[in-house]
Amino acid sequence: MADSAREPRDGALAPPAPDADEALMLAYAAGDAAAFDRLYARHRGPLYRYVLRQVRDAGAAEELFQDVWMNAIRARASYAPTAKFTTWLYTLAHHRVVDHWRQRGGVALVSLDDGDDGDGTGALVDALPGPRTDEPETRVASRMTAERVREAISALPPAQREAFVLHVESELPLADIARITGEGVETVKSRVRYAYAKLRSALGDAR
Amino acid sequence: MSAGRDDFRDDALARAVREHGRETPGAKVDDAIRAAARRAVGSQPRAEPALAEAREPWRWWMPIAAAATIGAIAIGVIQNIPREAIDPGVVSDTPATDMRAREAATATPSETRPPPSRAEPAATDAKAPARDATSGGPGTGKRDAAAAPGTPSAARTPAPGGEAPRAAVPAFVPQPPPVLAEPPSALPSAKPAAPPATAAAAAPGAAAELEPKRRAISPGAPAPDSADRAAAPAPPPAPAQAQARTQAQAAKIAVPESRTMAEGRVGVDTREAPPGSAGGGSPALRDRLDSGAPRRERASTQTGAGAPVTDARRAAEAAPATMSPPRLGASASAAGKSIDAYVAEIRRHLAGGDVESARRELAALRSAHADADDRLPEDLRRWAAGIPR
Repeated sequence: MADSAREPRDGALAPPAPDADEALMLAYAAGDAAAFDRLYARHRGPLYRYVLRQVRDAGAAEELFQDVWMNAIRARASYAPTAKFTTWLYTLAHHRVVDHWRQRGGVALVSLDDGDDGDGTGALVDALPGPRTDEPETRVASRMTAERVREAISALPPAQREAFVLHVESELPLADIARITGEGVETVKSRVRYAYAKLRSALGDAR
Repeated sequence: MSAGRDDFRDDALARAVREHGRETPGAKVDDAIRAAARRAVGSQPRAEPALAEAREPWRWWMPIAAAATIGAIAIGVIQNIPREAIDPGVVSDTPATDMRAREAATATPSETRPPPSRAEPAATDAKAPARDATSGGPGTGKRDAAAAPGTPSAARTPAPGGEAPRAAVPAFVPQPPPVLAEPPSALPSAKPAAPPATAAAAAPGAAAELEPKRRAISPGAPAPDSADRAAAPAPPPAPAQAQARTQAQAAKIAVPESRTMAEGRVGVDTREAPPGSAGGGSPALRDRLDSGAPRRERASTQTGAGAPVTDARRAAEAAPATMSPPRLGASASAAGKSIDAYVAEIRRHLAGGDVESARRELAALRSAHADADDRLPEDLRRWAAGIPR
């Protein structure tokens, strides 16, 4: 995905194409339920997987997923195409996931990157257990299974996992991920780079 | 983002992740979210727009159906309106006696002018004779004119006192002599008054007209011969009512011949009007009634003898009940003469050898009844077959 192709300029986007997400959302805000159906069909899978990767529980993921869409429905009137629809939608999902973890015991998606962001948390990364690299050869002997991939992603630190999922599964550019997560683009880039590195080592030949 | 900055990307790993990440929400979650979205915008499910489109034709053909219904109702109402209300001049198949009975029910005892609505057509009655002439009915003026070219020129002479426009109407002028002697059914209803003596002298046919009327008034009186009738001046003054009646008749006879002939022809229409019903009958009759009253006054003032004549006429018009029997008899069919009466008259004339009178009666009968020949007895029907209409 070209990261700069749909970058907003001067805080506003060019007039959306009729079939673009932004146009569909505006149409839905004007009362076109069919536009919402198209939007939903287009984003339901990636958004659900994003939530599922974060909470790692299907029941909770469906609940959060539904909440995200309800929030989007409620906020339709205030939607303005100053940014891409996906950015707006995943921002809603990010906030809902953060709320979910807070409700579950104050877990925060603190960055556990390698210290490129200068917050001194890079040392923690080395202390974390790796993604079961001790068994990669036996588990990817016949090709990497979906279970192993999911486990590998789940083994990622939450911040890296979120950035990786948004970047790979939801195919969002780093700039959008930075907006969604409220981090800098370079931070997001580091998280994605670390996630890739750990998955490579975790999956090995399973790719 | 440049390619160099994206050097951490691993397309094979990303593809593997995407291939194995196929989780999707449950169908219940999908339905709940879609339903919430539809409820939020207040729209119907997806199938509803299709239903709305299916109902859309109602939106345009409903007004058309309503208009068609209204039109059908209007046509039905128009069809049920009595034809008399639409066109009083329409000839009806109803026997004349029935029409007379209906019109007599609406007639007032005294002579009244027709209501303005009915007098309106009379104002344009100059066209009525032409209409009659072109209608091709029995006894029309054109046919009569062609059949009787030798009509006295006096018949075409315009009447004095502004009668020229009337006499100038071609349909009235060419009235053959038999019509002159026809039972003057229309005469009692409206005739301008004129000096009896001078009028009778001026109009050669006036005396001849007097006789039928006299016979009508007094059916039992013997008819004087035609020579006496032609030479007869105004009837001598008679005492009391008979005198007044005679004067009234003389005043009627004194009408210029052209007018008399015209009225003789129009008398066909007059028979269909009830006595005393000035507004009934054909437009020609109404026109004559409308224009007759002032003419009477003019004639009276010109001759100076208007007082007794107009008095007699007023007496006759003011008491239609008392005058009706003689008028009915005089006009031979002016007020409901039955076919039997016509037949009796024809037989009587034929028995007396007066074929001309019989022909006149037959003409009157034909004028009064379209199917006169069919209703005649067999012997008279054969006789009537030889007499052209």
